[in-house]
Amino acid sequence: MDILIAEDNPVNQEIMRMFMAKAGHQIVIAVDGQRAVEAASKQRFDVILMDGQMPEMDGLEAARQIRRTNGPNRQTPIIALTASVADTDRDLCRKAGMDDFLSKPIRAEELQRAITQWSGPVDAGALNSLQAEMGGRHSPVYQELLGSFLKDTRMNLKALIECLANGNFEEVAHHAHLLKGASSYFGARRTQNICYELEKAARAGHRAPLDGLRISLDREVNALLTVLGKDQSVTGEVR
Amino acid sequence: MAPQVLLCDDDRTSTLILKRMLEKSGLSVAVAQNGKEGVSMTLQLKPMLLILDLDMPVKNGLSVLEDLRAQGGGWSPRILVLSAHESPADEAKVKSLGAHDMVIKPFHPAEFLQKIQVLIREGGS
Repeated sequence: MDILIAEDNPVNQEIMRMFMAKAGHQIVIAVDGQRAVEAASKQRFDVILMDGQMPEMDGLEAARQIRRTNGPNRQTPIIALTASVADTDRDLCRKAGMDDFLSKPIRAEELQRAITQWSGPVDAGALNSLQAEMGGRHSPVYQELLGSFLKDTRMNLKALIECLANGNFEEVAHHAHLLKGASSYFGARRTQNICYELEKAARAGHRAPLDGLRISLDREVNALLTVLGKDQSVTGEVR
Repeated sequence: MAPQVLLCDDDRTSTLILKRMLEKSGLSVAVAQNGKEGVSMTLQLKPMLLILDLDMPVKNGLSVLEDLRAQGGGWSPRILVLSAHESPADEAKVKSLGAHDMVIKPFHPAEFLQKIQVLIREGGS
């Protein structure tokens, strides 16, 4: 996984480096908020870990800027790392666009749990609230929605890949757009992120990144379909 | 009964979810699948509230707002526009075109329903 770590303390940087190497993640370290924003504008990450207190620009402001600018990490989960455990600070982190909160000292297993939770194909919180809103995961309404989502998603992915092979960028952008909109309701952030990049590149006629994005999308959508498909009732619509 | 709410969105998943949420709060809902239908159904059904996705093929939401302004024929529903997270619309601009409020997708259901309640209340008074 690609992880951006914004942390000014050299000792903590070293600890993070060890954790991440052990877990097999690729990391980029930014030594202050300003550099974190710059790094986030250049490359898409799966997760961003953000220290609260840093020189130049603090974690809150860096998170706000990443959410506000039109970069590749608008939707990337941002996890705050902070010394404080007060509810008011938690609230400030959320308002700045951060998704989770770990208090220091950070333990390896806690960190890994948060990374796994936030980097999976689906944000469990968003999916749970959708299911609750639709009357529960076994309700006919949710099952109908899920069936149609799974079917449309397979169809859009297939069409996108075909259009890309034919060089029809306008249609690639269209299918990426549809995939992005629908998957957002299911909390499928990574799919959303990749589709956003794909749509942008395809609309600009920018060919270079498209193949790489198509490979990521294929992998991600299949992971998403597997996870969501588990909730499908046997009697539900299949394929 | 005439629909109180017209939902104009091209995305099937989005439509299913929003329709269900609105019906659960006791509203009757009609669906327009693109901007063109959105304009004609607004004029025909005269809903109290129009929920309008900005980002649609055929005819986008901004153009729907412009058309409704030009040919509203005395009927103006309350209008809530839906804008995408990655390319949020300029709220002042959509309001100057006749929308009353805006939410950014994906949104929390509670936030969406609260805005709906406010608009329905305003529309009814």
